[in-house]
Amino acid sequence: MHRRFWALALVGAAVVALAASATATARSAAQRTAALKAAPFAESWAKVPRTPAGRAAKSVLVFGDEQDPSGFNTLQATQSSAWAQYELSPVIRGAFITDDQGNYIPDLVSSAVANKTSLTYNIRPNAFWNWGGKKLPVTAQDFKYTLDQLLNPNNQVTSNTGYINIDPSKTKITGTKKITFFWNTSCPADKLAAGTCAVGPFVSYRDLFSPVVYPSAALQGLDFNTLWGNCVCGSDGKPISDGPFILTNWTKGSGTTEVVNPFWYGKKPGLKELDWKFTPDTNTEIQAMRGGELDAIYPSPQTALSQLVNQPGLVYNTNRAFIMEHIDVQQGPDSNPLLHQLWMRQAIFLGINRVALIKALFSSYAPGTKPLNSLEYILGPAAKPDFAKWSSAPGKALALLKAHCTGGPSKPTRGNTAIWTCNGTKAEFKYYTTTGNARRATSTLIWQQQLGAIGIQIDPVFQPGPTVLFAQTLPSHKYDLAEYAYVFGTADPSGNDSVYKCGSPGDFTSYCNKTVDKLLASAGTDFNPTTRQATYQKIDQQLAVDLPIIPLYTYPSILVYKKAIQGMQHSNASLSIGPAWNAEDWSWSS
Amino acid sequence: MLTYIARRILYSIPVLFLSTFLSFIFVSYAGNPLGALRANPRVSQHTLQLVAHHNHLDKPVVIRYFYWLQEVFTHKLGNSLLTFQPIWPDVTRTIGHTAQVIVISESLAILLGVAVGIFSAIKQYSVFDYTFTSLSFLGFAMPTFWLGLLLQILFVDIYLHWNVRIFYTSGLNSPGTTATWSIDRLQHIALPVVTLCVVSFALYSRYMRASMLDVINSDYVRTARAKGLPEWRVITRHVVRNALIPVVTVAALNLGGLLGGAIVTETIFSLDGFGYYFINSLQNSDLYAVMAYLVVTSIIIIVFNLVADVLYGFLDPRIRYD
Repeated sequence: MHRRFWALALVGAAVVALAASATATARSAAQRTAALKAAPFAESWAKVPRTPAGRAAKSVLVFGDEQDPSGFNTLQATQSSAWAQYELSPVIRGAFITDDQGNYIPDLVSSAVANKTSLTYNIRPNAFWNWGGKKLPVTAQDFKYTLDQLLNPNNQVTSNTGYINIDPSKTKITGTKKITFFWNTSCPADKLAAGTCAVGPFVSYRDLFSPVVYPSAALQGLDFNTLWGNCVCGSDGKPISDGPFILTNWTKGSGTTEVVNPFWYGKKPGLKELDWKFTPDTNTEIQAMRGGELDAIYPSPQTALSQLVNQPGLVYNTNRAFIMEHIDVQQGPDSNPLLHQLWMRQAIFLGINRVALIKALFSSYAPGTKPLNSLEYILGPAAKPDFAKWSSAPGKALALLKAHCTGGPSKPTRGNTAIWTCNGTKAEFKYYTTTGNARRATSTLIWQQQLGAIGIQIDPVFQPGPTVLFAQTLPSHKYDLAEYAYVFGTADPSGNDSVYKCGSPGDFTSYCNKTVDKLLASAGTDFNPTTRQATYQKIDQQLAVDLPIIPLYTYPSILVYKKAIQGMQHSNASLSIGPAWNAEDWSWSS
Repeated sequence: MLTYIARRILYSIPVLFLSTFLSFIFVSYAGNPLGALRANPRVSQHTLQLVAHHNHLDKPVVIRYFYWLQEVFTHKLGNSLLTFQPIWPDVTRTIGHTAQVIVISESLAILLGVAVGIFSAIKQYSVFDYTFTSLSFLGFAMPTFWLGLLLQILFVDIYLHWNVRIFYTSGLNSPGTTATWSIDRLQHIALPVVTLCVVSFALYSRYMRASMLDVINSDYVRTARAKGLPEWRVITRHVVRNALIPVVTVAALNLGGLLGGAIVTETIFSLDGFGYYFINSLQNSDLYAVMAYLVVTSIIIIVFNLVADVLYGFLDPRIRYD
C-alpha cells in the first residue's frame, strides 16, 4: 500500500512540476538572434492600465490584432502578412503613404520626380532613424540598400515589380538626401525571360520604396531572409524606427508594444503608447471590445459584427477595401462556346441581381455596401460607374436569349427548369469558386436561382483556393465562370494590367482586345497623372462593353473603436497599410 | 515492472518514427507551404523557386522527411519554414500555458466528478442521481466552442450591466500583472478552465458512478458489511479505493490527450497555447511547426499511456506485468 501511495505521489508531483513549468512571458530575447533588448511584452503590459478610462488617462491604446505576425520583414515572401504590415506601418515608413482616400502622400520624401528615363527622390531633411536611442538621418544610402536587397537574387522577396525596371549600376547619389535611379534601357535575354529584369519606366513609381525603406547602417551583415523575425531592430538587437512609434517589444502569442518615437519628423503623436493585443478569433474580439478589454479592432467582416453596430460608446465604421469580388467569364477554347458571344455575357450580367446578393451578405454588419461598377479604379473620384448599365434586368436578359436561343422560359420564373439551347449548345456553365467560403457558397446559390429563372444553368464546382483553383484551374483557362477576389495592393490600377492584356500570365479569361492593349501600353509610359487616368478610364469603358469580367462588390472593411478616440480614420488600403496609417493622429479626447 | 516499462519504451520508438513518417507524408500532401505565396499574383516564380529550394520543397517527400529528421536531432525540432526561427522556444512557451489550463481544469473535473460519482452511486436512482446524470449527459452533448462563446457573452454582459469584472474573455494576462499564478491570470483562464472542465466532469462522474456500482455489490464489500464495519468506512476504505482504479487510468489518458492542446478552446479564448500554435501552423502550412506539434503530442500520449498502464498495475495487485 505504501508503494502504491508513493507511486501515486510521484505521478502527482510530476504533473505539478509540468504545470509549474508554465510561464507567462516569453524567455529573454537574448536567446534568439538579433534579440530585442527591451523588456518582455508582459512587463511592458504591466504598465498598461486595465480599463479604457485608465488607458485614456495615460494615452495608451490597445488595438486587437487578429494574427500573430510571423515576422516584420513584410517585403520577405514568407513574412509578408496583412497584420504584420498594419503593426509595422507606424514604425517603418516609406517614400509615400496612402491616405484614407487612396491618395499618395509623400512621407519620407519631400518630393519624387519621375520621367521616362529616371526617378529622383528628395528625402526629407528631418527624416531620422531612432536606433536604440541613437538619432541617424534617413539617407539616400537607405534607398540604395533597399533596392539592392530587393534585386538580390538570393533574397526571397515578395514582389520586385517595378524595382526590376531600375538599373542599379547607374544610381546617382547627390549629397545624402538626394538619389536618382535610372530605368533600364535594355536587359539581358536570360533575365528578361526569368522576369528579373524589365525595360523602360515603371509608371506606378509611387508604389516603389513604399511602405518600407530599410535602415542600411543598422542592417549591415544581416540576412534579408531572416531579418526582423522576432523584432524590428538593428544588428545589435536594439529597436529601430523612422515612424511615429518604435516597436519596443514583441511577445509571440501575446502582442506588441509600440511607444512614441521622439525623432519622428511629423507632429508629436497624440498617444504615448500603442499596444497590439493578439486576439485571433473575431467573436472573441467582439466580446473583448464590448467588455472594454480592447479599444479598437479591425475585424474580418462577418455577421457576428452586427452586435457592435449599435453598441453605445463605440464608433462602427465601414469602408471599401481594395479587394474586388468578381466573376471571370472564360472566352478561351476550353470553355462553353456560348460565352464567346457578347449577347450571352450581357444576358448573364443582366440576369444576376448584385444588390440582392449584397443585401443578403452584408446588410447586418456593413450596410451601405454597394455593387462595384468599375474595374480599373474601384474607389475614389476616378472610378466611373461604367458597369452600372448592366444592373439587374432579367426581362432584358430574357429578350437577348430569346433572340438567339430556343427552349427557355417565356418570362423570368422562380424554379424554372427549361434551359436555353443556342445554336445546338445548351446554356449550361460550370461555375468555379473556392471551398469553405460561406459568402461564395451563398452567392453561388443565389446565382443558380437567378440565372435559372431566365433559363441559364450553372453547375457549381468548389475547389481549394491556393492549391487548385488559383494554382491550376485559373491558369489553365479550363473553366466557364469563376468567382474569386482580386486583391489590390495599392490604389494604382496598373497592378492589374496583366489581367486584361492579350496573352499575359494574369489574363485568365483569355480576353484579348488590341485596342485595350494599346491603351495599356500608352498608360504604361505616361507620367502625366491626368492623361494616364483618362487612359485607364477609357480602358474601363471598353471593358464594360466587352464584359470579360463581371465586377460584384468590394469587400467591406470594418473599423470599430471607442467613441472617445479621436483621429482614427478608416483606410481603403487595407492590405498595404491598414488601420494604423495615421496612428500619429490618434488620441483620447479629454 | 521495470522490464515491462523498458520494453514499452523500446516498442514506442519505432511507433514514434512510423507515426512521424506517416504524419509528415499526410501533412505534406494536405497542405502546400507555397500555397499562400502562389495565390499572391505579385510573388514571382523566382521567389517561389527560392523558397522551395531553401525549404527542400523541390525534393521528394521521403527525402524531405529525412531533412526534417536531421533538423529534429540537430536543431531541437528545427526552424519554422515561415520565419526561420527556432521552434523549440515556441513549443516550450505554449505547452507551458496549455499545461496550466489543463491541469487546473482536470483537477477540478476529477475532484467534482469523483465526488458526484460517489454520491450518485450511493444514492442510486435518487433525485441527486437523476439530476447529475442529466447534467452529465448535457455536458457530453454540449459543444465546447458553443459553451465557450456563451460564457464570454455572459460575463461581458455582467460587466456591462454591473461594471464588475469577474472574468476576462481573452488572453492570459491583462494590464497590471505578469505573474503566472496570480489572481489576474486565474481570472483570464477561468472561462477556458470551466469550458474544458464541463466535458471532463461528465466523463469522470459517469465512470466513477459505474465503477462504484460495480464494486459496491462485490462479495468483499458484503463481507465488510457483515463484519460490522460502519457504512462510511466500507465506502471509503473498500469501495471508493477500488472504484478509483479505472477512473485514474482514464484520467491519465485524458490528461495526455488534452495536453496536446485544447485547440478549439484556445482559439476561442485567444490563449497562447499548444493547440492554437498547432492550428495556426497548420493554416499557414508551416510544416516543421506542425510536425513539432505532432512529435511532442505523440510522445506525451505514449508516455501517458504508459503511465496509465503502470498505474493500473500499481493500484490493482491482481494485475502484474512481465
